[in-house]
Amino acid sequence: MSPRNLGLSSLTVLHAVARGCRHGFDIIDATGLQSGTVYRALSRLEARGLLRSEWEAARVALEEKRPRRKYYEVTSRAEQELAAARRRLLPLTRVPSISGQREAGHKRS
Amino acid sequence: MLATAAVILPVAQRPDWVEEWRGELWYRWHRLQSDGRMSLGAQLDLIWKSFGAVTHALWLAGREWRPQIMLYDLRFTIRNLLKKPGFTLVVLGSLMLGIGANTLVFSVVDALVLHPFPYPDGKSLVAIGVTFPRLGSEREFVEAISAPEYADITAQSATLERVVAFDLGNRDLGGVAEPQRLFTAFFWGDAFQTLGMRPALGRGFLASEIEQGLPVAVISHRTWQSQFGGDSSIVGQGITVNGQPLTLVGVMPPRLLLLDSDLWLPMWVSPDVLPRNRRQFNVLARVSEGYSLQDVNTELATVAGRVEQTYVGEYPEYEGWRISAEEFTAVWSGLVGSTGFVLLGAVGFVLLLACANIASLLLARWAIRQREIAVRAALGAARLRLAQQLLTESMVLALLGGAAGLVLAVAGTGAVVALVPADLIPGSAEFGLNYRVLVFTIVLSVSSGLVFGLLPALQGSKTDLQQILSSEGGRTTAAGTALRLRQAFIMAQAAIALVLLTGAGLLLKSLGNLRGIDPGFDPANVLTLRITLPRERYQGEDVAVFFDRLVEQVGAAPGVSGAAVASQFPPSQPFDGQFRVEGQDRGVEETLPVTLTTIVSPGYFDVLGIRLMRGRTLTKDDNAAAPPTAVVNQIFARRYFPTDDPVGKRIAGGSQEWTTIVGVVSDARNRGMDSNAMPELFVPVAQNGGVMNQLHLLTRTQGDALAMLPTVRAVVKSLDPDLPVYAVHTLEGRLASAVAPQRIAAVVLTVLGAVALGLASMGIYGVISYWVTDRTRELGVRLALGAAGREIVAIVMSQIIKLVAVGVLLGLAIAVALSRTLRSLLFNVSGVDIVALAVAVGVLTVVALIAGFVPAVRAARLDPARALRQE
Repeated sequence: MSPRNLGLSSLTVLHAVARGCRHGFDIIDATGLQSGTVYRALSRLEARGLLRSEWEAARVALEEKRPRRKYYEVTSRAEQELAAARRRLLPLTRVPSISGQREAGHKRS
Repeated sequence: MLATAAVILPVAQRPDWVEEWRGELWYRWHRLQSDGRMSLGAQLDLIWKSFGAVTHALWLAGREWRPQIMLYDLRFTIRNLLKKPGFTLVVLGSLMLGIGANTLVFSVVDALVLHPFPYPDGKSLVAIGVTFPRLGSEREFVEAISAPEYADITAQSATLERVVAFDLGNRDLGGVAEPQRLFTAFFWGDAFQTLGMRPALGRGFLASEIEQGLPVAVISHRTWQSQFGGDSSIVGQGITVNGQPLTLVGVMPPRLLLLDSDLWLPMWVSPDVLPRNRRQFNVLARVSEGYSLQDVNTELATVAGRVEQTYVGEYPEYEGWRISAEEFTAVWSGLVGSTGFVLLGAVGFVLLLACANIASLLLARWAIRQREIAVRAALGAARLRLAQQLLTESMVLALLGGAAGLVLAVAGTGAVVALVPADLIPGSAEFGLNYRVLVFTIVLSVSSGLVFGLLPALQGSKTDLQQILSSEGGRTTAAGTALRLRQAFIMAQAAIALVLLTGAGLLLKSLGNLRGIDPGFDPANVLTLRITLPRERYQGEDVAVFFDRLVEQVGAAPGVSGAAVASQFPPSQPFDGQFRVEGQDRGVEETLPVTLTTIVSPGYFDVLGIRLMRGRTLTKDDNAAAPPTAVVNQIFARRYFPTDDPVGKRIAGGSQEWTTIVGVVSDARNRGMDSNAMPELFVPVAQNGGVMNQLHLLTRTQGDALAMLPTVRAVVKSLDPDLPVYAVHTLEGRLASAVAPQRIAAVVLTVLGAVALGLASMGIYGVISYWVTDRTRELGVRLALGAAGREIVAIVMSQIIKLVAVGVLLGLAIAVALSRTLRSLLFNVSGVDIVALAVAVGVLTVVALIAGFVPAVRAARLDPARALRQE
């Protein structure tokens, strides 16, 4: 299944993981989405084979006297899909703006 | 919190999920602490984030919930139900009765009380009522407002729009095969606009037609169908009303619109020419967009204040008068409404009882299926999943029961409507299935499914695997909880049954009181009907002459033992008037005493069986040529001549002529069966014929009253072939319909009370049987130690008494709390009646003991040896 069928929040989360946010709460901070939304997206992406999760080494957790954390990684399929999506999306961002005037103003500030 | 939320997840996913969330939260918490960034805001943020765990868990659980699983559950349920046809039938039967009865009562209440009228946006349609404290009047909505007052309300209120006033009367429709007397409304304003309805054909009245009082007319759909064969070319043609040619401009839509009127005419007089104190109009209006009923009433209070200031000098009754608006539907449903809601409440209680029984059955069943459920749980079924499956079973039962109930309700509506006397049913009411009834049934079915399914589902899915699987069919704590729950149901059932029985007792006692009242007249075998003489053909003396001949000829007919005419007759008499007693001048007109004033022919007292107490009754010699005479009733004599003999005294009523009282007759209940007799003045038709052209013919028959109708009709036809006969009743029927709301409530509540008793005793039987089985060992030990069978029965019975006693206390509290709701239906009975309560408690206790007797005897007959061996 490709990212084309994913919702905006799932895509955002996938993107965040691809950029290196690996733990649930880091992704929440990076994306600004609600915790429930992020976790639903993580579960959904994992079910679709775009993410995989691992438990951190028990030793690390034990040393810090805390429970283990789960971390997420993008699969190679997700990387390909993201690259393809980027190729499709980039031309869209070059669509001329309706009000060129304001965009110019933005650049100056 | 995480552990709680985890319950909704399938077992396999739980540990992972809990650890992941715990890990993140813990990590975050300690990071904040070690970095020294811990603040209240940060803590709250973290707590907020932790709520995401719940939505996450719900989402994960929801993902498991696939349609296939529901289908699977459905198949599983149906197989299970078919396997136990007895259980299924009992449950479906009780649900069908419970839901069916509720749907039935609801559909009747909906048709009669909630939506008796077809108007769109009924909430904003209001009737205007007035109260005159100076005249001691209650708030009146019917024929209560004068034309100038209507003009004041229209001109001065911004919160009301489309204000329309109307008067009611009767008109003869001519030029058709059988002359028809039509109930007629006369309008200032376009009622179609106010009611928000469109005519089925043609149009309503134009402003110019109302202003100029043009000869136009609108007829009801049913009149159009019956008299003109539904011919649409009739619109624009002429019709004849009271001998006058009118142009028919419109036909009303199929459902009757306004108080069952069949003919609408513009008022043929301008409001400004009528006096301020001629209050005979009804006023309807719509609340303007953006205002509430309260806004309207606040504004109407100022209008009343202004009118009072201006006119109180000329019309003293304006002192402290009030104008107020009320929802039209509320004004016109009255007593039927309170009866309906009492019954709806009662029938709801019965359904609750049935649900308790079903829940009890399900609990027992699932206690048996515990092993199966435990095995499934052990194989990894989540508790939510198990509960879901158990709930599926309840829902299937509830919906099937609901569907059967709906069929029952639709089939039974006719029978229930037949209980309601015709004059309490507005012609616009429509009975039968509509979307409201359908929604009601569905909501009711689903909620009963939840009520009887939820507790067993939660209880049934709560499984202590080890205990159940290791206990070889013995007693488990879960089974114990189930039994305790079922005992709680018994208490609730006893309470509900007691409430219903008490209500039934109160209503029966009240009905007995009403029946036991001496009406003061003999209602058996009296036929009543109404005749109106058109003013065009009958004037002055003609009226008295016609009625005189009518009474003579009907009275002489075979099978008739007496006949009379009267302007009104008991038990409900609306017409009263003020009068003066000679020598007792009380000054201002409005403070003069009031008496019911009835125009009668001489035979009236004989026909009704009203006795002469003093002086003489009216005779044929009290005619137009003789000096005016009158007869009064006893309460009149007592109230206005407390020390003197009224016979020979003179009074003056509406005619302002001095009238001599010639006799006193016994009191008859003339203001309803539940009120004492009012003072009443009887004057002869022969001396007042010109005043009333509309009289009731009362015929006392030797046999069945209604059987004489054709004879009477024939007499009327022989006197005047164009005269319609209408409002045909028997006096007994009138009497019965006067107490109809009380009678219906008593009958239905008694039936419901009996059903409740039956359901409760079934519940008691089931639970006590189970209890006996559960305690077999203990009872066996007692028997082995030499306990007599009698003692065992006593043990079981004391168990029942304990449960019922708690239920009775609970029920008494509810009954007392609810007593207020019944008050409007009670006559000479207080809401908290010791006798009714005692009888209800007694009946309930006896029935409960009988229900428990069979299992108790079974317990006493146990063979100790076998009982002890039983695992």
